[in-house]
Amino acid sequence: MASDLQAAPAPLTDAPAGPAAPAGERAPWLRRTWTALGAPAAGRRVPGTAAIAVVAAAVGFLACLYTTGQGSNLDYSDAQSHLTIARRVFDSKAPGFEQLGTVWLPMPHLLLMPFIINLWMFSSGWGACVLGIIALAATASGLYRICALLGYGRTGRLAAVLVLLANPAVLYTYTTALTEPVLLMCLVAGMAGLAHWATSRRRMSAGELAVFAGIPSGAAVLSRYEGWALVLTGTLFVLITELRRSRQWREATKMAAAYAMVPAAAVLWWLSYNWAIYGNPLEFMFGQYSAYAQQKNITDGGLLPTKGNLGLTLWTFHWSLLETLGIVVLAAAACGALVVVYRRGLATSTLLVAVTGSAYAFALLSLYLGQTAINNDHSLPSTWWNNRFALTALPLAAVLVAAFVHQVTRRRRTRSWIVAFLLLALAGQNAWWLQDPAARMAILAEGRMSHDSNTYSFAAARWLKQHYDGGGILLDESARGNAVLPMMGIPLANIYNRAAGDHFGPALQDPAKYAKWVLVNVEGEDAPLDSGFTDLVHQAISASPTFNARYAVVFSSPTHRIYERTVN
Amino acid sequence: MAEQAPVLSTARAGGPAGSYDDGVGVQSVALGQSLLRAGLITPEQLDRALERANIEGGLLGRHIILETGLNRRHVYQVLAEQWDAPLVDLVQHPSDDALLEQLSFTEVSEPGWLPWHLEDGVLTVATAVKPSDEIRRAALRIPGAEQVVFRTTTDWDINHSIQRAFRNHLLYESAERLAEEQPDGSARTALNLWQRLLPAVLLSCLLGGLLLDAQLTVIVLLTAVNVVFLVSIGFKTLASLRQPFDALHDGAAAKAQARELERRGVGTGALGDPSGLAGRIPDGELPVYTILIPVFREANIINKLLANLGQLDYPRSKLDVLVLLEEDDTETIEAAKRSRPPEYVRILVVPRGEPQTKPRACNYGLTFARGEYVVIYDAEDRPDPGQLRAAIDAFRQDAFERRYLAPGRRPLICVQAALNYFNADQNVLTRLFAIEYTHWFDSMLPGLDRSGIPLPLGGTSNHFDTRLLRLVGAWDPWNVTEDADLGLRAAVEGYRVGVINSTTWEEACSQVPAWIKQRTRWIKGYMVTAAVNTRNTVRYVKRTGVAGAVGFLGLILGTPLAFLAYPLVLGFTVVTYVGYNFVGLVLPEWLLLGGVVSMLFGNAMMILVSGVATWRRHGWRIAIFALLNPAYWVLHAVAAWRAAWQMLSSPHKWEKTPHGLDEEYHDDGRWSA
Repeated sequence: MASDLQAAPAPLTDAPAGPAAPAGERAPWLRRTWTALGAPAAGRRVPGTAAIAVVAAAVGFLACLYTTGQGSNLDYSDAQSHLTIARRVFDSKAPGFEQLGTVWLPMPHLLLMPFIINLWMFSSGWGACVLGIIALAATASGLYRICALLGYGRTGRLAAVLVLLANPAVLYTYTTALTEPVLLMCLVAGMAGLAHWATSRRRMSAGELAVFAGIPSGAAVLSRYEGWALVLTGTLFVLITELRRSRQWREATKMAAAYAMVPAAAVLWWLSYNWAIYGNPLEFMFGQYSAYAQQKNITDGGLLPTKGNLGLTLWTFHWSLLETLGIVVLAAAACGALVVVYRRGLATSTLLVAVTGSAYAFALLSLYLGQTAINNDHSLPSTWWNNRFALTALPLAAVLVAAFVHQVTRRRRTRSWIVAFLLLALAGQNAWWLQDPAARMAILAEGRMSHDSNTYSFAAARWLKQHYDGGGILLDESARGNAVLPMMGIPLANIYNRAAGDHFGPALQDPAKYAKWVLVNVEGEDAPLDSGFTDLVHQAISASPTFNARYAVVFSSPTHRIYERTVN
Repeated sequence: MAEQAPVLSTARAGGPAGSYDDGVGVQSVALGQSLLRAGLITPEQLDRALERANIEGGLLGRHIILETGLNRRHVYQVLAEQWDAPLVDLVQHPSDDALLEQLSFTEVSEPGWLPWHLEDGVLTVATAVKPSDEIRRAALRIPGAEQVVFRTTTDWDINHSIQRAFRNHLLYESAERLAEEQPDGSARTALNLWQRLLPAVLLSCLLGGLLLDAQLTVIVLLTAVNVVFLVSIGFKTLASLRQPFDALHDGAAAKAQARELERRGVGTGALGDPSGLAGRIPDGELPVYTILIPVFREANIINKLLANLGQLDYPRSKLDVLVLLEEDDTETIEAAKRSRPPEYVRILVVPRGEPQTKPRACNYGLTFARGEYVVIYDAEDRPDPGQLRAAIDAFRQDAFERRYLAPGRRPLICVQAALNYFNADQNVLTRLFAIEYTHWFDSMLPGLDRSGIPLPLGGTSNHFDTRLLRLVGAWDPWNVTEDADLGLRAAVEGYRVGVINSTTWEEACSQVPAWIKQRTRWIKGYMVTAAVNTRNTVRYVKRTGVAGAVGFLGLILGTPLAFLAYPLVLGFTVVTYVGYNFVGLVLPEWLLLGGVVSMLFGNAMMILVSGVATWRRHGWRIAIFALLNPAYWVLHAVAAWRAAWQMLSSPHKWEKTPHGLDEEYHDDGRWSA
């Protein structure tokens, strides 16, 4: 069977290629751009891609201006940790690529590195903002291209882009150093590559598939484990599509192998890296800092009710999804799913849409198997935790919304009314959110909660930033509430922490010899079970009989304390 | 005006494009009238042919055939009646070889006639030119000839007879002459004794070193490969970096020249052209241009090449296209005959012999070349329409400059046009290949040219001064990159190779196995060329100077060595890690750092310079693939090691590159635009 995509009718262009701009028109480029946004894709050239990228970048820049102005881009502890990991590759007591890993995959940090060489870009979070702006532009244009390649017209394509750009929670995430922006960028790029391959006018070679889809998917594999799911479903998609086209297993296997080659190499590299650096290829899965180790604490504490409970899994995840994408988008997406299945059955285009949901499926499976934990105001227990994982469903939702909008706006007579209604609904959704964003949008609520729970550590970091006058700093950055190094804004080469490698142990043994400043979390064993590692520095200084004789407390809060050395 | 040259084969080079009587000649007009009376041509066709003959010069018979596609035998039949010399078919009634052997090849290859039979003192001459007293006198010099009678034959029959009678001579000329006359300059002996021993000595040193002091040996080895890699990269980068500065300089010079011309009131018609040569040369003043097209196992190629050459902005009557086929390639020969090529295309069948290589076929073709200039194209090539004219301009400009501006400068023997690929975006490999070629021809070659470094020629689109090409011994048939070798030999012999701003669009090899074979041959050719030129290093350096030595080290020797070293450069981290963990190898810090820097810097520079060059030529969609250069170089490394092995086992083996692999590639019009 020939690919249904190739046999698909010409996409709606919404508006005919307009006549030449009338003389004296003020902004002919605007008309050209508008026309391009509805023009059909021609091979790799999808008209309007650049325009979407520019608009998305502009929106991203405005969002960054807002969040950095508020300081909320550093609310998430993980965001600060990611910034720190990226910087310590070149600024640390033990610089080197060995700083990457173990639980977190390295791509976001590698991409972040060039943007945080400057200390201000690092401490303000603007380095992550720049990467986020790029990622937002890439994600938006990638979604636009997928929709164009699927044959959707201008309104459908723009609807998909709006799902991304008209969502405050999404925009907020793209201003932080969290891994979601990079993950979504790579996922969408990989999916766009697959869409290009599946819809190409000419038969693309195995190498082209490897480059256009395999490399971004490989990047996704090295960004987050959801990327691994994309590779699995993507490989299956290539196999089925090629089999339908050529009816040759050999050809289908070759193309599937070509697609999976780069991601497989990425996985292999990651295993080798873990083996070379930590002596265990599965260190990222079962090591001291792995997700498994963290989940084990939570499971042992009975705080992971979604594990093995399908109903609770679906309930929890979809509340996060609802409180992230909103009811309007989800309703449109659900309708879009019906449209896609009803109109195209199990055609290649339907499979392609399904591939965009692979990360979403992985997130659900992961939650059900107890590999991850998500909490929101409807979960058990009720708190805010990992709600950004719901963003894995964003590509699927955006494409389904595009399918729905494309379908309902096919009739020229009613198009304007329907578009107006949908825009009004979206605006209404946003207006409702913005009345109390930190309570109604899960990602923002979690950020606010993180900010609130880190009030004292942030205060300690700011104090040290103001009063630091040189000398070493001893702290256990990996301990709960201590991920504040960007906020501190001090070159990491001055810091003795777990990432300092061989320098950390002696500094713990004899702080005064190495560190002028010591920052500790004093919560000790009283801290909540799932809130992170115990502060090793606090343990060490508590056990040291001479510490208090050499250091004086210069900053104190209920959770954090800073000591300054008084005796050389 | 009497027709003194072969009626259908040689246009009068630079002949006047004058009046009816002066330019065409009464006899020719009579030919036209006869054909008209016989109903073989129409008055309109005759008028057009006359017009062409007046504009372009040359002989009416040739223009009539070009215009009408008339069978040459019909024309000669008419001529035979005019000359009162009956027509003979030299294929059915071959000439007496014993008679021909009494003449030298040059005595029969040029004039257009040959002795056919000698019986009882009567020599029958078969001629494709008008019988004349001059021919009669020349014929009577043949021993035993007392009387001469004429028969008419076609130029095709003459060619055929010459090829048959002088088979051995032609075989020697095309395959052995260079090797016999300049044994050290030919690759017939690919490696001499010390060159054959060198790999064994190096390997022994490596093994001995590993046994005696493994650590020191590894340090030396890794240092050496990194240095070789960096030298090669440095050379390529520096050559490329010249180009933009040269372009700026040229632009500024052209502006200054324009200002000066304007100040002097000369006007801007001859901008940038003090010699006044840049204006379009009238068709009648253009020389005959020979195009050699070696073809092997590519049936049905004639139509393709006619379509491609049909785009050339050059009068057909001044084109001398020689399609060179191999004797044992019967399928292509049959196909070529069936295609009934037009008059300006001659099909030459190269006799069976060793080595069966492209340069041997080209040498064979060169002996029949009638053009003042000669160029090689592949059948699939799509040269820019103005390329032949651009080459002539370059030669004329050089002659002008050497006469008035730089008398001491070496004469120009060849100009190389840029090569690029019309199927660049067929797949990833063709993109990378296009990037490589764009970097080489758009960026590096102009840089090398301006630096005075001898240029290794590309496989096609090198335009030669035919006389000088013959003087330097033409192509070495034993060298698998005869083009690169010829570029260097030309430099050694005191000539210069330049570049012209014109492109030939070729088909990039689109399949990895075929690419590996092709590249193996190219790298092996560089190795062979390096071997040939290191046999007499002092002579080479003396004649080519510092620039020649730098080019030789950085390019001819450096390129294969860099590719051989690349696996170790790329795998440096792995080598050091495995060595450290499993063998206890501890490398000095400078080497560890240097190795990583070499790998990163070297690859980054290649990505940058080739990416920028490609961006300008093809745009970012192709240029972005320069990021895959490190992977592309892995393929080079594979080819280089194959080439190294073949150097020892089969240095003359010619792995043919298949063409027509672009069938799945649908040209979207961009490349043909």
